[in-house]
Amino acid sequence: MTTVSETKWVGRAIRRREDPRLLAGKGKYIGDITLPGTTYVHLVRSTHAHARIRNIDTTKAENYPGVVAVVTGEEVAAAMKPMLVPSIIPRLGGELQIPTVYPLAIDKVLWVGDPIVAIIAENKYIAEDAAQLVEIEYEPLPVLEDPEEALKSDSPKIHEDWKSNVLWHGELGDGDVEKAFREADYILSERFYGHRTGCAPLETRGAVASYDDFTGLTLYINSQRPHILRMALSQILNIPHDKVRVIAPKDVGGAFGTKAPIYREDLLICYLAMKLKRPVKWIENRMESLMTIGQERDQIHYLELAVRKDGKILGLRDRIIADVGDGRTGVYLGFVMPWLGAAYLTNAFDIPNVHIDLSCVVTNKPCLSPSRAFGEFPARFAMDYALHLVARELNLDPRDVFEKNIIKKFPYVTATGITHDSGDYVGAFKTLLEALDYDRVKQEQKEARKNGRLIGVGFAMGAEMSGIGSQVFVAMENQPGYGSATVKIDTHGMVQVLEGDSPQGQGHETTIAQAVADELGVNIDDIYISYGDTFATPFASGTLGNRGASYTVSAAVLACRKLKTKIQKIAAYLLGIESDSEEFIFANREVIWKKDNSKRVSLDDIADVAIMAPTKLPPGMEAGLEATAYFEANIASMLSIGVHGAVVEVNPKTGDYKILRYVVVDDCGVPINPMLVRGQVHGGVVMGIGNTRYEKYIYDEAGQPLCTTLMEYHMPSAADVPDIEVIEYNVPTPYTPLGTKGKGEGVPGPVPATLASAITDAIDRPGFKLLNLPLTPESIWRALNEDK
Amino acid sequence: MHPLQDVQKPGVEGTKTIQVRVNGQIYKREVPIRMLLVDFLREELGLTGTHVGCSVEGRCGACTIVLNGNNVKSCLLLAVQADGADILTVEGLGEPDNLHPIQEGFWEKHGLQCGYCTPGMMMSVYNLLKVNPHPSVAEIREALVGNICRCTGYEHIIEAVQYAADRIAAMPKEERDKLFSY
Amino acid sequence: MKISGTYEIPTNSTTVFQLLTNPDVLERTVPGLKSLHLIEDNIYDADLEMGLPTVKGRYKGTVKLVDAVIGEHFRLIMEGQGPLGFVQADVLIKLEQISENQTKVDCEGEATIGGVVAGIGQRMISGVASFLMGQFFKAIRKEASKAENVGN
Repeated sequence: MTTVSETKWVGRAIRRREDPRLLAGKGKYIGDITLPGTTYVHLVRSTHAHARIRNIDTTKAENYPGVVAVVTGEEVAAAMKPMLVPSIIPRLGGELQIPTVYPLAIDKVLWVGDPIVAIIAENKYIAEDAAQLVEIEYEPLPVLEDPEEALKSDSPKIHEDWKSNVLWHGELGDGDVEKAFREADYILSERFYGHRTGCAPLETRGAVASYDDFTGLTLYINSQRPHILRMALSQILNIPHDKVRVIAPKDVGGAFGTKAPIYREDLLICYLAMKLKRPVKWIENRMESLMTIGQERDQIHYLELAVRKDGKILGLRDRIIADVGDGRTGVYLGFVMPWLGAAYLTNAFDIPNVHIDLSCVVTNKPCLSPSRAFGEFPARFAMDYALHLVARELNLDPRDVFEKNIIKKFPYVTATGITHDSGDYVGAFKTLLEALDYDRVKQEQKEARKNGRLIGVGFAMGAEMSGIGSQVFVAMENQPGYGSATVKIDTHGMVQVLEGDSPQGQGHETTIAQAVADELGVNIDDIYISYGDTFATPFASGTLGNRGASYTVSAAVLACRKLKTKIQKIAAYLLGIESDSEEFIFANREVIWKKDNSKRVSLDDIADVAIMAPTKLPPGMEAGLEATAYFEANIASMLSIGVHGAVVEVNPKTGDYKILRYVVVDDCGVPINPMLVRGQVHGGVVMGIGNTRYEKYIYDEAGQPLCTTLMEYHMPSAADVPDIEVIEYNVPTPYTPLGTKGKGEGVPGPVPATLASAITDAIDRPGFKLLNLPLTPESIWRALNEDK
Repeated sequence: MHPLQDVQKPGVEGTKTIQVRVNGQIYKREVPIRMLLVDFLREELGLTGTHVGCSVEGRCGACTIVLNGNNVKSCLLLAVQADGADILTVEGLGEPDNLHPIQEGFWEKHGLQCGYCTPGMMMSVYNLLKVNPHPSVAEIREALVGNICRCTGYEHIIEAVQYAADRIAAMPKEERDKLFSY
Repeated sequence: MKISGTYEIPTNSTTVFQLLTNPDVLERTVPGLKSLHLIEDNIYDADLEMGLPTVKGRYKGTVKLVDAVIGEHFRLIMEGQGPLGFVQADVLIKLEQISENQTKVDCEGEATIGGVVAGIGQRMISGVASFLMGQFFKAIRKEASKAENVGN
């Protein structure tokens, strides 16, 4: 008799199950999908930031050999509804002006890169050639690049039918802010600027669409949200829902939020497939990508803190002006990110009195699209760096200022309405200071200074969302927040899990399998995970906002538990035991009676009965072994904490700085696979360092993007970044079945304040501040020389 | 002779017959003169493990291959320039059931997330370990400057390279040489 | 992008003015200019090839000559569009005769470049612009010497 194995899969740093195919070059990405008879699309995009289109002459392009069709804006618009249908418009209160959006520009272009003409050809080389032959006459209009200019009442309006250039304006907060400021011993008041940067995944966007009158539209697309996209396509294109199938490929080359929106190109490719009745393929090139997606974080904070002399923050006032670009990208309209950044502004701090005024202003730039840390990047910079400035101003140790203000009691609801479910933020913070050896570094700093070396230490907090429950998500994006999964035991006793969210490198095939293996007492290799196909998987809102480990895994666990109830009934019946369910252990692919270990049935036998021989089932029991669960946490939202710290050395002559140490103390509740969690944290920090130091989407005064290659938009290489140390400090949440929380999404958020505070500490000169991102050697040199 | 001198003057319609050895197999194909090598590998030969991340910039490194023993970005070469070349792509590195130690290192140490940069990254690692069997962390970082990874933050990639280096160092010389025959 | 430069031409200001405003001379001297045709008073049709080696673009557009005072100054307003983008420039050219056969030419203006060339080459483009202007005035100096010789 074999013993009951207690080996758990959850918590083990096992190798990923998706890796062998990726390592062998056998991954299936969107670029690898080509259907018979595929045509290729190239887009002619605006070279002007703001202009009226006087004339488009496509004759030469149409006559170019190999060109299948040339399509312009009006034709596409006539075939569909304006893209921003009500079901994808956020309902966040405030005042919202909604732009009219069609896939291609009609009459007017609003940014350099605005798509105008689609060329469809027999191959991509021909499509690109023909694109050069399209002649477009523009009448340039005044370009608005600065959101504060665009806010002025006499500014020209980018959307002519609007009453102003403000896409969304609203207020957030609670408490008696006036009183807090009256009672303050000190008021900090600064303007913080977060530059335009974000996430450029290594794989650009891409889509392959096909259409026939019987099966309808099939769209392969590297989307983070296939179900949401399917719903939107059906509504915008007026096609019955059963005739729209969206499939996210098995492998997606990173997304980080940029593949979450409903883009104009998505609708265009579908329309072209419907028009031509031939498959249509579009792979965004890098230049288009850098001109179009992954731009976020672009905002100004006029932040004021009411501070008591011991460093306690009594109140906060902030006026945020976000540059959302043209505001025409579906679901987020460029404003949901600044909104969430504002809602999360107070981060991990207990600040009861808050008033935030947020204006999201349109300019002649591409619309903001979500980027890892969703709205939090500039907000964390302003908030946490402001706490360091407070400490400097009041001559306090920033460690004490942080400790005094960190949230200590849970659940905690912020003045902006965000619920922190559980955790030990102070414990994590103290662990960081220990890991940094804070006191010793401060001592070494003094020694080094004597030798002319400027060493500094800094830190910041990051409370990152761990999925967002329906309570918040329905309002935020008009979509449910639940996680969903179907678990099936198949005819061979293997376990299939179907999830509605499809991954882009997060490792779902491993982590979900680890959780399911424990629930059903099977080996991880007995499990296969299916995702991506909206015709096969349960509805879900997509892989974003750290939903995986918190919501999707929990749904898979709940589905297993539903199934286990049935399995136990079958087991009891087959064993001839009088038993309530819940009396069995699932281990070694067997179902074992707790009261007598010798009474056991293999899962294969149960599957065989339930699926192949239903006559052997308990009388009246339905055949089959499958269950679907929708998980919703019994709390408005969960967050997971990460505390970042860095030691830097600054060269005051050049402004250059070296990161000597970068440490993260990280809580993800219960790590399903600690190796994967570490990977998420490493990657998030390096993206944060890239965004803070190397990457900026620069526009000239005419609205021309100057960073349209990876030479100009410098994503860090291995030689540009330091080692990242990660220390686990996990506090299981009581709100998920396994205590798991999501991790990875918010990791870049605390990086700029960590580095800014470390550099400021190194310089240690009264009045020296770094209020503007990015933190380049040049910007530091300028700050050093301005205050002299 | 510089390979470019072989190329006839544009005429975008023109084709040329080339012969290449890819992963040990010889292919003879008539290709359009202006076809990029990366498109030739992916679309003509169906070797889609070599990826395109930046299209004719050469910055991202996802299309890195080994050509006549050197790392090249296959998006910066025309297929006709590779005429006569001996090429290694990720598909030639190892099979899922017989992985190269470099692949094993990436697997063991979680050196990949989305996997898009990985084939090109491993090609650079291949040439690093070929000439420097015991690279320091700094040397590894330096050797990988031409390959961007947006997911891992490089930490686990460095561990993967160290793992592979150790594995290879423990092998008999003949086996080691077989691993680096390109 | 700001454009500025000062050049000396070995002839008197009236000749310089004539050279700089003569389409035949410009067609010979402006780098990349393929053709220049008068379409109405002081407005020319231009066909120009410009850019950096990897992103060379062909632009079609107009050149307008305004505010012209012979021997003293004139303004050139140029607009060109092509598949890879556009160029716009507005340059004031002031002439100052510093000796009998020497004129100082002062150029001051703004240029905007849009599209692929701007995205890829912005950092290099002002260097390229002053290089091209240097080339142009070198060619003009030659023309001026020619004119002087003919005149003498």
